[in-house]
Amino acid sequence: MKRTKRLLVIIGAAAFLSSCAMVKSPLIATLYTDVKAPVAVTSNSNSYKVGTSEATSILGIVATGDASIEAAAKSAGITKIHHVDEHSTNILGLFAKYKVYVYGE
Amino acid sequence: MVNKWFKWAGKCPPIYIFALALLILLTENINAQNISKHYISTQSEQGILYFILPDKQFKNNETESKLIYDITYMTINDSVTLNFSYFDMAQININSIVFTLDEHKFWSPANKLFIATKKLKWHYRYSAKFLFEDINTIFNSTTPPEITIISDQGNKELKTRPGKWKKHSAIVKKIITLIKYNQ
Repeated sequence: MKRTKRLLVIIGAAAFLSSCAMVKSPLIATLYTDVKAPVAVTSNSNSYKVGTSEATSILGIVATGDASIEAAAKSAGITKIHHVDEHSTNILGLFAKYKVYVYGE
Repeated sequence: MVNKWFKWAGKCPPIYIFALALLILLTENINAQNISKHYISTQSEQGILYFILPDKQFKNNETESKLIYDITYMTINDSVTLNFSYFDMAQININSIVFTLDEHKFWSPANKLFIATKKLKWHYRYSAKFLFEDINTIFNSTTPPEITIISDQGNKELKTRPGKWKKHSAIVKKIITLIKYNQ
Protein backbone atom coordinates (compact mmCIF):
# COMPACT_ATOMS: atom_id res chain seq x y z
CA MET A 1 0.00 0.00 0.00
CA LYS A 2 2.81 2.39 1.03
CA ARG A 3 4.74 1.47 -2.11
CA THR A 4 1.75 2.20 -4.33
CA LYS A 5 1.25 5.57 -2.66
CA ARG A 6 4.90 6.48 -3.18
CA LEU A 7 4.72 5.40 -6.80
CA LEU A 8 1.63 7.54 -7.33
CA VAL A 9 3.34 10.56 -5.74
CA ILE A 10 6.40 10.11 -7.99
CA ILE A 11 4.22 9.75 -11.10
CA GLY A 12 2.20 12.84 -10.07
CA ALA A 13 5.31 14.91 -9.43
CA ALA A 14 6.86 13.82 -12.72
CA ALA A 15 3.67 14.74 -14.60
CA PHE A 16 3.51 18.14 -12.86
CA LEU A 17 7.18 19.00 -13.38
CA SER A 18 7.28 17.86 -16.99
CA SER A 19 4.50 20.30 -17.91
CA CYS A 20 6.44 23.48 -17.09
CA ALA A 21 5.62 26.56 -19.14
CA MET A 22 8.44 27.05 -21.64
CA VAL A 23 9.12 30.01 -23.90
CA LYS A 24 11.24 30.52 -27.01
CA SER A 25 14.37 32.41 -25.99
CA PRO A 26 18.09 32.46 -26.92
CA LEU A 27 18.83 31.89 -23.22
CA ILE A 28 16.84 29.56 -20.98
CA ALA A 29 16.73 29.64 -17.17
CA THR A 30 14.56 27.53 -14.91
CA LEU A 31 13.88 30.11 -12.20
CA TYR A 32 13.36 33.34 -14.11
CA THR A 33 13.75 34.45 -17.73
CA ASP A 34 13.46 38.03 -18.98
CA VAL A 35 15.32 38.24 -22.28
CA LYS A 36 15.05 40.56 -25.25
CA ALA A 37 16.56 39.40 -28.54
CA PRO A 38 16.57 40.20 -32.26
CA VAL A 39 14.43 38.30 -34.75
CA ALA A 40 14.93 40.02 -38.11
CA VAL A 41 16.24 43.15 -39.83
CA THR A 42 15.27 44.47 -43.27
CA SER A 43 16.79 47.06 -45.61
CA ASN A 44 13.88 49.50 -45.09
CA SER A 45 15.15 52.75 -43.62
CA ASN A 46 12.40 54.33 -41.51
CA SER A 47 10.91 53.19 -38.21
CA TYR A 48 8.53 55.51 -36.44
CA LYS A 49 5.79 53.00 -35.58
CA VAL A 50 5.88 50.10 -33.12
CA GLY A 51 3.45 47.19 -33.01
CA THR A 52 3.26 44.32 -30.56
CA SER A 53 1.73 40.88 -30.39
CA GLU A 54 1.96 38.26 -27.67
CA ALA A 55 1.19 34.72 -26.58
CA THR A 56 1.09 33.36 -23.03
CA SER A 57 1.37 29.98 -21.40
CA ILE A 58 0.12 29.04 -17.93
CA LEU A 59 1.71 26.04 -16.15
CA GLY A 60 2.59 24.65 -19.56
CA ILE A 61 -0.99 23.41 -19.72
CA VAL A 62 -2.73 26.26 -21.55
CA ALA A 63 -1.01 28.40 -24.18
CA THR A 64 -2.92 31.04 -26.12
CA GLY A 65 -2.30 34.16 -28.18
CA ASP A 66 -1.15 35.39 -31.55
CA ALA A 67 2.52 36.39 -31.39
CA SER A 68 2.93 36.65 -35.15
CA ILE A 69 4.83 39.42 -36.92
CA GLU A 70 1.71 40.03 -39.00
CA ALA A 71 -0.45 40.64 -35.91
CA ALA A 72 2.15 43.02 -34.46
CA ALA A 73 2.52 44.97 -37.71
CA LYS A 74 -1.26 45.16 -38.11
CA SER A 75 -1.71 46.53 -34.58
CA ALA A 76 0.23 49.68 -35.47
CA GLY A 77 -0.64 49.93 -39.15
CA ILE A 78 2.91 49.04 -40.25
CA THR A 79 3.28 48.26 -43.95
CA LYS A 80 7.09 48.43 -44.25
CA ILE A 81 8.99 46.55 -41.54
CA HIS A 82 12.35 47.89 -40.38
CA HIS A 83 13.23 45.30 -37.76
CA VAL A 84 11.66 42.77 -35.39
CA ASP A 85 12.57 41.99 -31.76
CA GLU A 86 11.28 39.41 -29.32
CA HIS A 87 10.86 39.49 -25.53
CA SER A 88 10.61 36.24 -23.58
CA THR A 89 9.48 36.04 -19.96
CA ASN A 90 9.20 32.92 -17.82
CA ILE A 91 8.56 32.73 -14.08
CA LEU A 92 9.39 29.36 -12.49
CA GLY A 93 7.83 27.56 -15.41
CA LEU A 94 4.45 28.62 -14.04
CA PHE A 95 3.88 31.56 -16.36
CA ALA A 96 5.51 32.29 -19.69
CA LYS A 97 5.01 35.15 -22.13
CA TYR A 98 6.39 35.61 -25.62
CA LYS A 99 6.11 39.10 -27.07
CA VAL A 100 7.02 40.32 -30.56
CA TYR A 101 7.89 43.95 -31.34
CA VAL A 102 7.72 45.12 -34.95
CA TYR A 103 9.27 48.46 -35.92
CA GLY A 104 8.52 50.15 -39.22
CA GLU A 105 6.49 52.70 -41.10
CA MET B 1 27.28 21.27 1.56
CA VAL B 2 25.46 20.69 -1.74
CA ASN B 3 24.24 17.32 -0.50
CA LYS B 4 22.89 19.03 2.61
CA TRP B 5 20.85 21.37 0.42
CA PHE B 6 19.53 18.48 -1.66
CA LYS B 7 18.54 16.65 1.54
CA TRP B 8 16.80 19.78 2.82
CA ALA B 9 15.03 20.31 -0.53
CA GLY B 10 13.86 16.69 -0.44
CA LYS B 11 12.36 17.14 3.05
CA CYS B 12 10.96 20.60 2.29
CA PRO B 13 7.15 20.51 2.13
CA PRO B 14 5.69 21.70 -1.20
CA ILE B 15 3.95 24.59 0.62
CA TYR B 16 7.38 26.21 1.28
CA ILE B 17 8.32 25.90 -2.38
CA PHE B 18 4.97 27.47 -3.32
CA ALA B 19 5.53 30.26 -0.76
CA LEU B 20 8.96 30.95 -2.29
CA ALA B 21 7.38 31.15 -5.75
CA LEU B 22 4.75 33.57 -4.43
CA LEU B 23 7.45 35.69 -2.78
CA ILE B 24 9.30 35.99 -6.10
CA LEU B 25 6.07 36.97 -7.87
CA LEU B 26 5.29 39.57 -5.17
CA THR B 27 8.79 41.01 -5.48
CA GLU B 28 8.07 41.44 -9.19
CA ASN B 29 4.99 43.51 -8.31
CA ILE B 30 6.86 45.61 -5.76
CA ASN B 31 9.34 46.45 -8.50
CA ALA B 32 6.49 47.67 -10.74
CA GLN B 33 7.85 51.18 -10.40
CA ASN B 34 10.85 50.00 -12.35
CA ILE B 35 9.93 51.74 -15.62
CA SER B 36 12.22 49.66 -17.84
CA LYS B 37 9.52 46.98 -18.02
CA HIS B 38 6.93 49.49 -19.22
CA TYR B 39 8.57 51.02 -22.26
CA ILE B 40 11.05 50.31 -25.03
CA SER B 41 13.20 52.75 -26.96
CA THR B 42 15.15 52.48 -30.15
CA GLN B 43 17.53 54.83 -31.93
CA SER B 44 16.73 55.64 -35.55
CA GLU B 45 17.90 58.16 -38.15
CA GLN B 46 15.03 60.49 -37.27
CA GLY B 47 15.59 60.43 -33.50
CA ILE B 48 14.76 58.19 -30.55
CA LEU B 49 11.56 56.19 -30.81
CA TYR B 50 9.77 55.52 -27.51
CA PHE B 51 7.00 52.97 -27.10
CA ILE B 52 5.00 52.82 -23.86
CA LEU B 53 3.56 49.33 -23.49
CA PRO B 54 -0.22 48.77 -23.58
CA ASP B 55 -2.40 49.76 -20.63
CA LYS B 56 -5.58 47.74 -20.01
CA GLN B 57 -7.24 49.51 -17.08
CA PHE B 58 -10.10 51.46 -18.73
CA LYS B 59 -13.45 49.66 -18.71
CA ASN B 60 -17.18 50.21 -18.84
CA ASN B 61 -18.77 47.70 -16.48
CA GLU B 62 -22.32 48.34 -17.71
CA THR B 63 -21.65 47.52 -21.35
CA GLU B 64 -18.72 45.20 -20.50
CA SER B 65 -16.58 47.07 -23.00
CA LYS B 66 -12.87 47.74 -22.47
CA LEU B 67 -10.06 49.81 -23.93
CA ILE B 68 -6.37 48.98 -24.38
CA TYR B 69 -4.04 51.72 -25.54
CA ASP B 70 -0.33 52.13 -26.23
CA ILE B 71 1.72 55.27 -26.82
CA THR B 72 4.42 55.82 -29.46
CA TYR B 73 6.57 58.93 -29.54
CA MET B 74 9.39 60.02 -31.84
CA THR B 75 11.59 62.72 -30.30
CA ILE B 76 11.61 65.00 -33.38
CA ASN B 77 7.80 65.27 -33.30
CA ASP B 78 5.60 67.39 -31.04
CA SER B 79 2.78 64.84 -31.23
CA VAL B 80 2.28 61.38 -29.78
CA THR B 81 0.56 58.46 -31.49
CA LEU B 82 -1.98 56.71 -29.30
CA ASN B 83 -3.11 53.40 -30.81
CA PHE B 84 -6.09 51.85 -29.09
CA SER B 85 -8.17 48.69 -29.16
CA TYR B 86 -11.80 49.04 -28.13
CA PHE B 87 -13.79 45.85 -27.43
CA ASP B 88 -17.58 46.04 -27.52
CA MET B 89 -20.54 43.80 -28.34
CA ALA B 90 -22.14 46.63 -30.31
CA GLN B 91 -21.43 47.54 -33.92
CA ILE B 92 -20.25 51.14 -34.03
CA ASN B 93 -18.46 53.62 -36.29
CA ILE B 94 -15.79 55.31 -34.15
CA ASN B 95 -15.04 58.95 -34.98
CA SER B 96 -12.83 60.21 -32.18
CA ILE B 97 -11.45 59.71 -28.68
CA VAL B 98 -11.57 62.20 -25.79
CA PHE B 99 -9.68 62.28 -22.48
CA THR B 100 -11.66 64.30 -19.91
CA LEU B 101 -9.66 65.58 -16.97
CA ASP B 102 -11.69 67.76 -14.57
CA GLU B 103 -12.87 70.54 -16.91
CA HIS B 104 -10.27 69.97 -19.61
CA LYS B 105 -10.99 67.88 -22.68
CA PHE B 106 -8.25 66.47 -24.92
CA TRP B 107 -9.79 65.40 -28.22
CA SER B 108 -8.38 63.63 -31.27
CA PRO B 109 -9.94 62.16 -34.39
CA ALA B 110 -9.52 58.39 -34.62
CA ASN B 111 -8.24 56.71 -37.78
CA LYS B 112 -9.21 53.11 -38.38
CA LEU B 113 -6.42 50.51 -38.49
CA PHE B 114 -8.68 47.45 -38.64
CA ILE B 115 -11.82 45.89 -37.22
CA ALA B 116 -11.80 42.23 -36.16
CA THR B 117 -13.74 39.94 -33.84
CA LYS B 118 -12.58 38.56 -30.50
CA LYS B 119 -14.83 35.87 -29.08
CA LEU B 120 -18.28 37.49 -28.96
CA LYS B 121 -17.03 41.09 -29.13
CA TRP B 122 -15.95 43.41 -31.91
CA HIS B 123 -12.31 44.51 -31.78
CA TYR B 124 -11.97 48.07 -33.05
CA ARG B 125 -8.33 49.07 -33.60
CA TYR B 126 -7.83 52.80 -34.15
CA SER B 127 -5.03 55.36 -34.09
CA ALA B 128 -5.16 58.88 -32.65
CA LYS B 129 -2.68 61.73 -32.27
CA PHE B 130 -2.25 63.99 -29.24
CA LEU B 131 0.19 66.76 -28.46
CA PHE B 132 3.12 65.58 -26.32
CA GLU B 133 2.32 68.33 -23.80
CA ASP B 134 -1.33 67.21 -23.56
CA ILE B 135 -0.24 63.64 -22.81
CA ASN B 136 2.13 65.08 -20.21
CA THR B 137 -0.79 66.98 -18.61
CA ILE B 138 -3.03 63.88 -18.57
CA PHE B 139 -0.43 61.66 -16.90
CA ASN B 140 0.64 64.37 -14.48
CA SER B 141 -2.79 64.17 -12.92
CA THR B 142 -3.25 61.88 -9.93
CA THR B 143 -7.02 61.80 -10.46
CA PRO B 144 -8.01 59.43 -13.26
CA PRO B 145 -9.33 60.87 -16.52
CA GLU B 146 -12.45 59.56 -18.21
CA ILE B 147 -12.05 58.28 -21.76
CA THR B 148 -14.93 58.77 -24.20
CA ILE B 149 -15.18 56.92 -27.48
CA ILE B 150 -17.30 59.03 -29.80
CA SER B 151 -19.17 57.11 -32.48
CA ASP B 152 -22.12 57.61 -34.85
CA GLN B 153 -24.15 55.41 -32.49
CA GLY B 154 -23.39 57.49 -29.36
CA ASN B 155 -20.70 58.02 -26.77
CA LYS B 156 -19.05 55.22 -24.79
CA GLU B 157 -17.53 56.22 -21.47
CA LEU B 158 -14.67 54.27 -19.94
CA LYS B 159 -13.35 54.63 -16.42
CA THR B 160 -10.66 53.25 -14.17
CA ARG B 161 -10.08 52.94 -10.42
CA PRO B 162 -8.06 55.78 -8.78
CA GLY B 163 -5.54 53.33 -7.28
CA LYS B 164 -4.79 51.71 -10.62
CA TRP B 165 -4.47 55.10 -12.32
CA LYS B 166 -2.16 56.45 -9.63
CA LYS B 167 0.21 53.51 -10.09
CA HIS B 168 0.19 53.65 -13.91
CA SER B 169 0.35 57.44 -14.21
CA ALA B 170 3.42 57.50 -11.94
CA ILE B 171 5.18 55.10 -14.32
CA VAL B 172 4.23 57.04 -17.48
CA LYS B 173 5.14 60.33 -15.79
CA LYS B 174 8.61 58.94 -15.09
CA ILE B 175 8.96 57.78 -18.72
CA ILE B 176 7.93 61.26 -19.95
CA THR B 177 10.56 62.80 -17.67
CA LEU B 178 13.13 60.42 -19.16
CA ILE B 179 12.08 61.43 -22.69
CA LYS B 180 12.42 65.12 -21.77
CA TYR B 181 15.91 64.53 -20.35
CA ASN B 182 17.00 62.94 -23.63
CA GLN B 183 15.58 65.62 -25.91
